[in-house]
Order: sequence, then C-alpha cells, then structure tokens
Amino acid sequence: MSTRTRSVLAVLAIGALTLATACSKGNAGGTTAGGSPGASASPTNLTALFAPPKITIGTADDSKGPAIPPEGVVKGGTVNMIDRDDYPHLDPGRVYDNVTANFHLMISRGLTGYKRVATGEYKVVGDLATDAGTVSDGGKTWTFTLKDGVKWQTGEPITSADVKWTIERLFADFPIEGPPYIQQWLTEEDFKKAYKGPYDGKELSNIETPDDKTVVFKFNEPHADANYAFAMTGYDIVPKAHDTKEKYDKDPVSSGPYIIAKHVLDKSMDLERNPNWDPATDPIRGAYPDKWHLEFGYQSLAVTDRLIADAGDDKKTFSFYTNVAAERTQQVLQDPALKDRILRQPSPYGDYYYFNLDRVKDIKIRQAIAYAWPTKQIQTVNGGPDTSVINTTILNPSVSGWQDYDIFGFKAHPEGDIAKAKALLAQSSNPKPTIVYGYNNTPTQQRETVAIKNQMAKIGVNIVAKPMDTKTWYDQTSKVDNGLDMYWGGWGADWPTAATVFPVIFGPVRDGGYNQSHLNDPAVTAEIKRIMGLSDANEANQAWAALDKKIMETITPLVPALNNLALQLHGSLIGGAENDPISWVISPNTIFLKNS
Amino acid sequence: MTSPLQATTSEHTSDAVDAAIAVSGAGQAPVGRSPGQLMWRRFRRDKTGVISAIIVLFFILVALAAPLISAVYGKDPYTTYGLDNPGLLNQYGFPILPNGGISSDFWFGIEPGLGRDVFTQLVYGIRTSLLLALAATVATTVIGVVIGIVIGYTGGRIDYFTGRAIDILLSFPSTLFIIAFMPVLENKFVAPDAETPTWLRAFALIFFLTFFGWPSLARLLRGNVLSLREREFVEAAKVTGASPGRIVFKELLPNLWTPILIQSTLLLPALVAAEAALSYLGVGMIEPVPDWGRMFQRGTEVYVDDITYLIFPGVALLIFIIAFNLLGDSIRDAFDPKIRR
Amino acid sequence: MLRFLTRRSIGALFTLLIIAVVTFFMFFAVPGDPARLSCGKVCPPESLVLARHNLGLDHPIFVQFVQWLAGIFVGRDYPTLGHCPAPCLGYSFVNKEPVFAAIVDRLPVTISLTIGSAIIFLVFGVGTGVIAGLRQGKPLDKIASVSSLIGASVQIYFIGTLAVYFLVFQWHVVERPRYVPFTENPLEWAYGLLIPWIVLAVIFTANYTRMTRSTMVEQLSEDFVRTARAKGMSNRTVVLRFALRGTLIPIVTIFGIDLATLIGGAIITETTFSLQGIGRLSIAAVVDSDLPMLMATVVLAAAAIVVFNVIVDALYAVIDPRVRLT
Repeated sequence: MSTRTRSVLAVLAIGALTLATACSKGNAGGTTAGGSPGASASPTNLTALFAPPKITIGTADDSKGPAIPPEGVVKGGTVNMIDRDDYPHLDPGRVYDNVTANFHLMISRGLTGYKRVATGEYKVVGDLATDAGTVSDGGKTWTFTLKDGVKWQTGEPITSADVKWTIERLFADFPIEGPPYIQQWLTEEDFKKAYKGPYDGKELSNIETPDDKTVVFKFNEPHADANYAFAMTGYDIVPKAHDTKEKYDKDPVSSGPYIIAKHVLDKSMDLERNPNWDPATDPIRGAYPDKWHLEFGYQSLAVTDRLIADAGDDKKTFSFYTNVAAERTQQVLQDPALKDRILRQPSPYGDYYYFNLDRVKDIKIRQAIAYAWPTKQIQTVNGGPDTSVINTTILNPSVSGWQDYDIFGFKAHPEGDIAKAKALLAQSSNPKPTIVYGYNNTPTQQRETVAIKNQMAKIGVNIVAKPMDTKTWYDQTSKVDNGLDMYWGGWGADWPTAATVFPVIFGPVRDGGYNQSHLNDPAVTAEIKRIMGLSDANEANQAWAALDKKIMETITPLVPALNNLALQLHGSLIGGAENDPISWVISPNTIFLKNS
Repeated sequence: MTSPLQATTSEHTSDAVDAAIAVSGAGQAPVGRSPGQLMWRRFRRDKTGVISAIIVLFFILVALAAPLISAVYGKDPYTTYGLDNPGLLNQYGFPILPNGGISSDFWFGIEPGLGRDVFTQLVYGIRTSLLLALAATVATTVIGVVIGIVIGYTGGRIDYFTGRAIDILLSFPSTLFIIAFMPVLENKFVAPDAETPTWLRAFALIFFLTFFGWPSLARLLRGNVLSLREREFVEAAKVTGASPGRIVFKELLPNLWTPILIQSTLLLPALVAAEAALSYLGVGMIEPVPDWGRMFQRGTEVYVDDITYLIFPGVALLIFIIAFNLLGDSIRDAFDPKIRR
Repeated sequence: MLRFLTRRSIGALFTLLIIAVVTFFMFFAVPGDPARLSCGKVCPPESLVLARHNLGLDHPIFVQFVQWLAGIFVGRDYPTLGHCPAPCLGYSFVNKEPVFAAIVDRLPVTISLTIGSAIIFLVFGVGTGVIAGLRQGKPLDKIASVSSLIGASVQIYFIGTLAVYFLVFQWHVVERPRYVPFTENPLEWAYGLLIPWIVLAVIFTANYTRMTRSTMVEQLSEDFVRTARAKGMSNRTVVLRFALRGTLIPIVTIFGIDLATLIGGAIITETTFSLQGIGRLSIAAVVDSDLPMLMATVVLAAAAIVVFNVIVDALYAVIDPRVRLT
C-alpha cells in the first residue's frame, strides 16, 4: 500500500494505487494480506491493547524545553534508519504526508507541535512559540510570541518576519503539495488566486508582525484549533533571508536539532547535530543520538529480515515507516524473542463504506445493511485480527474527545446480525432492495466485495458490484451524481480533532468534494457550525463525540470500515521507539541508543 | 483437401514412402489416399499425439460440463463456504485442515480468505481460460491469415507498409502496453458511472491478445505465400485468367492449411498462458468470474502459508499447456513427416 | 555492412519514434489526472492549474511530445525544477527526480538478471541440444526432450514461487532473491540472484535444446556433412565445423529475441522475485500515471528489441558468408 510516502491524496485511496498488491509498493500502509496460518496463535484482545491516545492543549509551562525524556534514556551514538523511499521534499512548505513530516521533526520547527507527555498522551504546545497561541476576537485572531534563543543553523535568530514569510511564500506558484488551511483562512478557498506570494514584494496584510517576537494572524472566521493547524509540517518555518524558492527543496536551512551533512539522492542521508539548536527551547524533540544515518531503497522484506536477524550494526537500526512484511507477520508475532521489539498501532485515519443518501433514502434499509455488515468476514479476507481492528464509530479513536459506542453491533455481532437486519428490512419501503456497490478494482477489494455480496444476499439485498478503475475510482465516487448506492471512502484528519473530519465529510456536497454520503441535514450542519464556533477546545471535542453518535443513530450515512494495524520491528539497541498514534510512524523525538 | 498438394521434392518423396508403408501395412493393392487421410493415419500412429489429444479433449469436456460437474459434486465456485461455516478457516483466513483444507467435502481444498471451493473454481476456470484463448486464437488466426495472404500475394507498397507496421507491433513491449492501456478501452465503451460488464473485460483481453498476436502469424504466412506465388500452378492459374479471388481461395489457401492449423494449435496454449500472466499481474477477469490467472495471483500472495492453493492451478495449467504443445507438435509431424522430433 | 547498419539504424529509430508517439498519445486517453496526484489532498482549482503547469501538462499534447523528444537531444528547462541536461528523459511526475537517473539506477538489476540467466541457458541449452542431437533416440535424448517440453510449458510465477517456497522457506538452502551490486560484492551478487537465474534458465533452456537438436539432426543428414565424413574427417571435426555452425543462425535468432525480452522488462520475473529492476519500474510508472517514466521504460524495452534485431541480422552475415546484407 502506498499510503505513506506518496502524496496524502493516496491516503484517501488506501489500496487504490496498487496493482500487484503486496509485492508492489512496499507495505507501508500495513494492510498486509496473508498473516498467520494454523491455530497456534491465540487471539489477542487488541481492542483493549490499543487505548486511544489522549491529546490535549498544553500550557506555556508545557511549552518550555527540554523534552520529557523516555525511560532509561542515553545520549550519543549513531542511529541507523532504513526505509524504502527518500523524502520527496525537504522544503517544509511542500510536505503533507506523514512520513516526510516525521523526518522534518529533525530539521525544521514550527509555531506549535505535539509534545509527548507519556505513552499515548500528547499535548499541543508552543514549539518556536512560547505557548500554543492566544485567541482573541472570538477565535478569529491568533497571536504567537516567539521564544528567546531560537536560531537558524546559521546562528541568525528566528524572527516573526520569518514566520510571516513562511506563510506568504505558500501562495507562490511552486508550493502546491502542502496543506491549504491557513492560506484559505487568511484569504479565500482558491487562495492562489487571492495572492501571488511575497516574491514580487507584496505582503499579506492580515499577518501582522508588531515586533521581532510577535506574529498575529487575523482570519476571516473563527478557527478554534488553528494551533493544531500550525503544528503541521507544511507550516514549519523557512528563513526569509535564505529562501531560494524551488531550490530550497534541495538545500533547506535547518531550525531543528540536526542538519543534513550529506545526502545521496534515493540512497542515503547523514544528519549531524545543529550547534545552534538549544534543547532548552524545545519541548518536543529529545534529539538524543549524535548522528543519524538514513538509508533508502529497502523493501519491507529486506527491512524485516535485517531487523529479525538483529546482527551487528542492525542492532542500532530501525525503520520510520516500514511494516513487517506480510510473509513474516506470523513469524514475528509468534516469536517470543521478538516480543520486546514489536510495535503495533492502529491507523489514525477514518475509512468508511458510504451510503449515497440521495439514492438509499430509507434509513431502515441503511440500518439493515449496517446490522448485517460482514465485518468479521472482511477482516478474515484481509488477513484476520492481526492486521486490522474493528471500528464502530465515525471518528477514529485517535481523534481528541472520541467516545466509544456500538449501535449496530460491529463488535458484538462481527459476523452480522442477519435476524435483526431481516426484521428491519421487512418494515422498510423495499424488503428486497438492490444496492449498487462501487469498488476500487484491486485484487483485495475484489475479494472483499465477494464477501459483502454473499452476505447481503442472505438478507435479501441484491448487491450489484461495479468494479471501477483504480485511477478514476476516487473521481467517480466523489461525483455528486455518481449512480452508486454504496462505496468505500477514506479521510485522513490533518490534526486529531473532529474539526478536520465532520466539516469535511459532512460538509458541502459538490463534485470532487469529500462529503461522499451527500449528507445534507440542516440540524447536522447547524450543529457543526455551532461547534466550530466554540472557543473552548475541550468543550468542542465533547460536542463532536456526541454528534458522532447522533449522526450514526439518526441518519446512518455510512458503515465504518476496519482500522488497519501497523506492525513494526526495531533493533535491540534502539530505545524509546514508539509508533506515534497521530502520524502512525515511529517518531525520531524519543529515539535513543541503549548501552550495549 | 481437394486441390493438389504441391509439395517440395523431399516432402513428395517422403509422402510417397509413407504411403507405401501404409499400403504394405495394409497388405492391399495401392489405393489413392488424399494428403488429409495420410496425415490422419500418421497422426493415429503417434502415441504421444493421441494421448495429448485425449487430455485436450478431456479439458474441453470439463469446460463444457462444468455446471454438470458442479451439480454432481454439490458445490459451486461462488459460495464462500469458509466464511459462512465456522470451522473451515482459522481467524487469519487460512484453512484449518492441512494441505489447504483438502477433505472429502472439498477435494482440492478451500481458498484462503474467502473460503470458496478450489475444485469448482478450477473447473469453471478452464471455461474462462479456454473461451478467452479460443476467441483470441480464432481472431488472431483470421486476421493473421487474411493480412498475411493479402500482403504476400499483392506485394508492392501494401506489403512494404504492412511489413513495417508488423515490425513496429512486434517491437512493442506488449505486456506493459496492455497493463497501461487496458483502462482506455474500457473507458471508451463504458460511461464513467456505468458498470463495466464482464463481457467487456473479456472483449478487452481478447482484443489486446489479438492485437499483439496477429503480426507474427501474418509474417509467417506472407513468407509461405511468397514462395507459393512463384510456383507453376499459380502461374498457370494466372495465365488462364483466374481472378485474384480464385487464386487466393482455390490455389493458395488450400496449401496454407497446414501451417495455419499448426500455428493455431500452438497459439491456443500460448494465449492461455498469456491471459493467465495478465491476470497474475492484475489485469485479468474480475471477481467473481473464476479465473486461473487470478488464482495464481492469490496463490503467490499466500504461498508461504498455503502452498496448496498455488499448486492446483499451477499443475493444471502445466498439464494443459504441455498437452496442447504436444498436440501441436504431433499435428506438425503428421503433416510434415520429414521433421522427426 | 556499413550501408546495412545505417539503413537499419534509421529504420530502428523510426520504429522507436512511432512507438513513442503511440504511447505518448495513448497515455492521455487513460483516465486519471497526474496533476491531481501531485497536488495536495485538498487541491484548490488554482493549485491544480499550477500543478499542471509545473508538470508541463498545460501545453497541447503535440507540443508536449515535441518537448519530450527534444529533451532527449538538447535537454530541457522546467518551470520550477530548472534545467535538465541532455539526454533528458524528463522528471518523474511522482518524485520529481530525473527519469534518466532512475533508469540508470534500476538497469543493473535487470541486466544482471539477464546476463546471469543467459549464460546458463545458452551453455546448458546448446550443450544438451548437441548431445541429444548426436544421440538421437537414446535415453539422454529423450530426457532432454521431455525436460525441454516441461520447461517450455511452465509459468515463471509458478515454478519461481515454488522454487522460493522450497529452497528458501522449506529447506533454507539459499536466501530470498535480492540484488546486491556486482561492484559491491560479486559473490553476494551471484548468490542473491541464483534462484531467478536458475528458474529463468529452466524456462529458456528448452528452446535452445530443441532448436539445437533439430538443426543438428538436419545438418548431420546434409550432403556436405556426409561428404566430409566420407572423406574421413573425424566425428569431432564434423560436429564442430559443420553441424554446430549450422545451428548458430537459429540460435542467434532466438538468443537475440530472448535477450531483448529480458532486458526490455522482465515484468513477471521481477514481480515474482520482488526484484526492483526496469520491469517493476515500468509497472510503478503505470500505477502512478507517471508519463515520463512510462515513456522511458516503454522506449527502452522497444529499443532492446529493435537493437537486438539489427545485431542478429548483422550476425547472420558474419556467421554465414552466403547471407548478403542489403
């Protein structure tokens, strides 16, 4: 699966871009078919294992460095990292995908960021800023103050002018790959039309820099979680004095704990300490190793085999995103010697089987299908409970404020509640409905569709399965008039609050948009608007969770899909390795080398 | 074959020798035998040829009788037995019984993941493979023969330009081309929001296989026609004022049946293999149509845990192709006894 | 000879040009928008326009083709990526790296695969063919023809996977196929590619055995061989000087075709053994709608075929003086 290193668009189409499944583009996404045979492996209660992360807003105190060290931390040494792909962009303004963003933690900083407080517990804190931002004007104005002692690798101080420049340059013609939020909030949806960037001398008037340390953003509307948006790598800063436009992508200036000492494209990269980075200013990055040696071009099997063998220098080796290869899943899970070196983490994305509400109008039919949904069968087809966990809610459990519920018994009756479904269908407008199910024509999806079709036949629902070409699959399902009744769709939240989920997946209905169920309910829209206007983030999160359940209960616009599980290994001398529940990769922040 | 077979000298002699043997074997006075009869006699004496013909016939029969076999056996290739009945697949989707879940109920085991019956999938898979390959073989042969004869006979510019076109087609990296442009064909025939029907995918496969298959056959026949064109009997026909149509159909074509038959017998297994390869790469028939190539694709995914699921289609395809290749060889030998293998 | 080579080279270039044109124009008939893929998750219309511009997709297709073609000879300039020196095959749509570098990076894998297996199947195929031809009807001959028949009928993804299953997973005889550059460690290089070589050899050998055998049989019954024998030439001389020589032409022909097929992208082989050569690169290009990469791999595969055709024809004249090159 090519979710990790390609543009984030690929996240929307997990599995969409694979032709020959497992062996093609690596197994970064963790949907590894195959798995374990035999009855030897005991089923583990994975649900209990994966408590959702807690993410809250930190205080100014939380924003002070240094970072909270992991247990038994040791400083120094050279850590090796092996992965399949080099990073497509070194210019932070062009970064949107989780893997590249994860790498950028080492060389660039932003106004805010995620501080790990304990396992599974995170706080949004000020990174370059002294705190996570001050809101005024009902959420429209955000003010940040830069810390003292934050410097570029050149030794020059980081100023508010740099921050302003960073945002303004995103309007220029070349950075098209990054996130659009801040730009849109400052101007309009098609923001590149509104302003052409700072290179011809024009400034953006609603970013104000009253002094060298203060920067003020004035948005058109309230945005209670702008501090989450600023934590995205796409808004990490770029020096005004050293911005080389397109060429910056090859030769960036570091603001983080390391600088790139050597980079052989697609082969390797060596990082050394940035003498001008002061741990006392950084609450997020531990930066314990002295040096990093990154190597690229390793397929998941090669990575897995090296890490299993754990020989020589490979003891000091890990991989940011490479998952255990499908062929080794069974071996890795059943080998007690590897137990301490395994990392598992469910995906933070939301994947759904959407109903097209324009066509499947009877809620009883939708709910009957939900009750009968073959969750367990689909899980089996995809490799069993070792590769995915069952989801019952619209929001991913990693989203702040998430609350559990299981209205349709996806966990209680994972094989589908046929009796209940039949009873509901009998009361519906059409006891023998035909459902046109569009799916992405990949081998895995083909098999999944067979399971769905057979199951639905049992309750008298006739599934007309439409294989759709991988490349156009998203374009076709995201059309308003798509002629389909049900289809798979995914959405990866850009930061872990529902504010980048509900307003999108239940937002405006338009061609190419992400409201794929076409839910257009005035009550829901009003509630979304109300919550967006809340300035208290915790209150908002609670309200989102309540809305999640209410939508599922009263509208049932979708059936939640399985949540893929990452399975990673690391060398025996690597300490502090954790799969970050927000970015779904191993963060460099806590990595250290144990004493051998 | 009604027209005189203008064989080369050596062929002629060996034909005569063969005829003599046939005669002496029968212990009767020499009787005239048509080349077709001679060929049939020679073929019948070739044990390998007869056995492979029986195997090929068996495959064809199985394909034809698939629904009957399925009914007697009591299972079909579509039901997901493993998902519907607990106790067949473990939680990881693999058969609980050893050897891919082979049992008295499931003779060839069950498919990992979906838990369908492997035996009926194989049986119905023959249908898919044979039907696609047969259609592509017929199309390739017809197009190859027509173009080969036309350019061979007319010569000149048509020959030159078609020859260059054939050169170019033969230089295309065809597998890659098919994978890349399969969607184009479907895109042209199906509205973006309409279903891609099974027949269209089948047609697309047949189309592409034919598109890259005909040039070599055409080239081969062109060569044959070129040498025939200079022969006395064609010259004679021309002199007597026969129309080009008559010359092509009455004089040339009868002499080309041998290479055509041999080539198309060898073409069929090659196309079965090509279709399986495309399926293996993910551009074959779509679920739930049973398809050998797709079984390979799944088989190579799960082989570490369930090798049985790979072995059945693998061995079946191997037998099928060997039998067809042997049959092709035997037909060739029967037609052209000079080349003994 | 020179005239022949010039003429054929021009013809080959023309063939490649046509293939390039067809592929290029067909690409735009494929549904899917590479610009959308290179734009972010939420891609406002203006950004999409810019993405299209940055990829050079905002010109008419014909102009794009001319730009692509010209780039090969004189290099080309990109709106945001700067100058790409000749021979410029363009920048990959996906990672914005020069396609030329990617090809150079992957080609050694495919070439190693080709050379290793070619040596095995050529030596082994011709060897068994000669022996079988000399001992017609003997057990060895029969074994050779049966095994060559199976070899010719078997599928690489089937026996390749079986070989990996048994040799790697069951018997632990060798490691899983992988590629180590020859320059790094020749032993590891050979060791890592051993299974693919053997599997390819098993499949390809069959052809050579059959071809060598049947030509040998034919040659040995030719008048000039009989004459030579009658004149008292030793069997060895006869075989080496006459019979074997006659087998060269058909062998050179199929060897040329096989080499071209292998270099031009052993898609199935590389997929079966998870080797990252040109074949996998080309599949990735298709999946990613990466036009410059697709063009490069298609043209490379076609060039392999065309070039080997010319070489084979030229070799005919070298082998057999009767052949006149025109």
